[in-house]
Amino acid sequence: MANSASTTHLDIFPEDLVQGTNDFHSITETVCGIIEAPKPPKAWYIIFGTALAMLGVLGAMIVYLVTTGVGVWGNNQPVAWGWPIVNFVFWVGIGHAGTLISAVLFLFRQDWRTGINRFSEAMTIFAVVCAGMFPAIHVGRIWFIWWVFPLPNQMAMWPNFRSPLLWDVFAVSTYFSVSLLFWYMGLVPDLASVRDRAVSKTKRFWYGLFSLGWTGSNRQWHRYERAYLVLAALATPLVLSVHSVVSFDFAVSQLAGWHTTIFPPYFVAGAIFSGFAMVLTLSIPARKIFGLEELITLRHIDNMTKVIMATGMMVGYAYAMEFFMAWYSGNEYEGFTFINRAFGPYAWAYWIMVSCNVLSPQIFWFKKIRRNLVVVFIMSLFVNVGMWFERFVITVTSLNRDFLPSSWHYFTPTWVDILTLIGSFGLFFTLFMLFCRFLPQVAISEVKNVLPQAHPHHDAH
Amino acid sequence: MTETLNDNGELYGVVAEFDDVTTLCNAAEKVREAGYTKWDCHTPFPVHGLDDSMGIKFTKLPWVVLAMGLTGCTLAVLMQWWMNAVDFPYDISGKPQWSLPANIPVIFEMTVLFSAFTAFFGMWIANGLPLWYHPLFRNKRFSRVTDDKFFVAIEAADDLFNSAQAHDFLKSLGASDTEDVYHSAESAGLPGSLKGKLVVMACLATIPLSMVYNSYGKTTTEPRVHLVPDMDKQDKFRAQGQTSLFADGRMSRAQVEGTVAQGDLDDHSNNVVNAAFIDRGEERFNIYCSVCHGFDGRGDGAVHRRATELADAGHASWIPPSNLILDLYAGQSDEELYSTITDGIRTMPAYGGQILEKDRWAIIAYVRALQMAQKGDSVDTTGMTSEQRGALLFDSQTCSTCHTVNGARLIGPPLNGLLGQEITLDDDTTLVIDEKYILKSITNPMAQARKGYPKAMLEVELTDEDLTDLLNYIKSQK
Repeated sequence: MANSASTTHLDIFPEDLVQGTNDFHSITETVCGIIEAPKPPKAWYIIFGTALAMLGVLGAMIVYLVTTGVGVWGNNQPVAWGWPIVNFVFWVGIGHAGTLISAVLFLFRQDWRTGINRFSEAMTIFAVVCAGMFPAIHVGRIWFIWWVFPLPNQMAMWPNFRSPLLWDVFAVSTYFSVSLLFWYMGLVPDLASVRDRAVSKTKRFWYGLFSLGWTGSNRQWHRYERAYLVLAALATPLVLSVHSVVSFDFAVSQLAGWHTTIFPPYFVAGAIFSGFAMVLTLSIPARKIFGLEELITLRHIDNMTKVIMATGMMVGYAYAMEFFMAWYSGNEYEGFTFINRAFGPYAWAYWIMVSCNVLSPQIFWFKKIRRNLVVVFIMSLFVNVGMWFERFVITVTSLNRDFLPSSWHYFTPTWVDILTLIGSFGLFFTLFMLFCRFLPQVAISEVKNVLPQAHPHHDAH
Repeated sequence: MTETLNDNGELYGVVAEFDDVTTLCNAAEKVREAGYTKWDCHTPFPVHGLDDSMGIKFTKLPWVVLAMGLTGCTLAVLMQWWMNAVDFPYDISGKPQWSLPANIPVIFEMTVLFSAFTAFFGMWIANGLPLWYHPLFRNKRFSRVTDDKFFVAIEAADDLFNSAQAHDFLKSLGASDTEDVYHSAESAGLPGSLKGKLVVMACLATIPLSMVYNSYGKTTTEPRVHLVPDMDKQDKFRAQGQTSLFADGRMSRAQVEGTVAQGDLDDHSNNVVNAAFIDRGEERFNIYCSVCHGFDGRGDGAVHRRATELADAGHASWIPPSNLILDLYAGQSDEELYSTITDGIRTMPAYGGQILEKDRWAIIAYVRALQMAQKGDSVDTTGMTSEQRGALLFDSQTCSTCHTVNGARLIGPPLNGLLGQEITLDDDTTLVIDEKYILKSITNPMAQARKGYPKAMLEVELTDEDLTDLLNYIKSQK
């Protein structure tokens, strides 16, 4: 600790990234201790049990859907894209914050990411699992889902590469693969930590298997760090491309309310916005339950609320700009769509979206509020709700007023729609709780690296 | 020393423990300067500056990633071009089958995917991992390498290696402890129990594959499995089908009285029939109709003449086009003619797709003009025998469209040599043809239809005199 005066880059910040009297060993203890504890905390059982029950509901809903047909959902003409696409975009957006934290902040040398990156990368992967599920079950005959990939089939047909829906297949599956590699690569040295401390033979075997024989060799670290940097540099444009491609699903179509060039940046900002909210929703309880307060500090939370405020204003700008363009274009269909969006039958959804996404994050101008965990947690829930409604508003309000007034239709979800959405949260939290119990929640080796004593002082020269 | 397992394996090398990064970095520099080549530092996290101290050459991995990224990019271009422009071209709104902008997202994703896989797997391969066994793991102290201690290991394989010297050297560099590390005497392979399990799993894994291979490309008489019967067998009604839903059992519903279906409102009351309109009709008639119906509408067009030649030579069968001048067509309403032009009739194809609506009405106006102009040409029948008058009726009432008198089969049965012929009826009874049957077949044709012919003939309304003439003509044809 005495060395800290000689280190440079940490001194410009008012607070240390790791608080308390932590050294290398105590960090290993804190993080590995969670996995090594004979029993997880009570709260873990409660959350895991609830999530598992919700996952069961999801399973039942999928079985019902597949055996009966997509008619069990509320989707119908003209709202053929109902909740499944809303949920898909919602979940895929959640994932974006994880990649932003792990890749973009890494490239920008934002050391504060180390406390939360493992967490948020896990969140990314689980959110993309939930997201990918929705289009897959939406195809109805799920056993033909492999037709979306360019694989030889008995019809001697290939997919249409000029369809945004196919771009989506490539974007989301690439995103999932790269996120998984990135996450697993970061995990390997930490799994080795668990392996080296494991007492039981089973644990030694499994953690040993997945830590790939890591010895912390510096010759290996050298290539590892290079590869990590390369992956970060690849994941950065990738994460921007994924939600841009998702937005193409809408923007490339000819529908008023969808056919706008602002969609790609607007969707990316919204994705980061919702993703950071989800990181907060997860990390505020987790740091408390698992005693990670010294590693995921108030400074981390403060920083995340600032990101939320910035991206919240970006989506607010996009909402305003959509209205401006609808008016400025002079296109009467665009004009109608947007007036209908804010004052039509779904006005309630529109104003929930605006109040949750644009108005509520404004309270983060105050430092006291940014550091009040209860308020921040509630605000993060607001943002999650608001961002779900954003996708609902974009999808449903643009569709429900067709060009042919006789087709106009007020979309309402069925009980299957609702339980499937709830069930997807079950899937997400089940995976997340398993992660919390069996894998290091904080990137041990990376956090050690931001401690002052991790840097040699070359007084020998 | 007691902490290292020594079961008489070969010496791997000497490992030294250090307590902080600064000592480690200084030690690393000294070890390198001493000329060792087979040695390494082991740390719980990447120590910055250690690469320089150790003199590690910069990895070539990024170049490999670049090369594979470009490969992915190229493959994506080729794949999309081959699949969408060559092997299975998509025609969408007449757009070009190969247009790069729409293929960029997939090109980008494949570039990233190939690069990321290369960075990830390339890194592990270059690092020689996964490696399930390493002699350093046999050292108890070494387990803190992933916690809070730093190690320098010099391998016995190094040319300069000397165990005692290495110990002293590393201690002099500030190592808090130095130890010998030995290989295991046993083989470093997988444990026997695991091997057995893996073999069993590998065998089990081949079962589904062999089942797939066994059924590949084979036919079966078993009906296919309907995973979700709802999707394959749907409770829906098809147009023209039967249903129990409506009392009359018909799925297609009749139009509500007093309404006009969309697109059916062809209001030609606005067409002013004047010279220009009829000229237009003549022009269109000569283009589209005259090839079969002839320029005068008598059904003697070029196609008809050529086809008749071929039919007579036995090369083809031919149903002659109608003579539009006949009273039958003169008596048809404009709407009937319009319907025939639009949708076609018998072997005449539909012209609705080729002739504009207004032009169809113009053609009808011109056909009316042809009929009126040639009315005076009708045949004087005075002095003709009954058979001769019957022959005229046979053509003018369009019997000849479906029937021949030379034994050839068109749509209906040939009408020569009918009397005394034994035929089978639709209800499988047999009958010997007499005059009564012939008459009945003209006035109420489908009452006793012959088996093997379409039930398509319409009633013909004739005066008793005409009926007798027609009967006599048919009887005269042996």
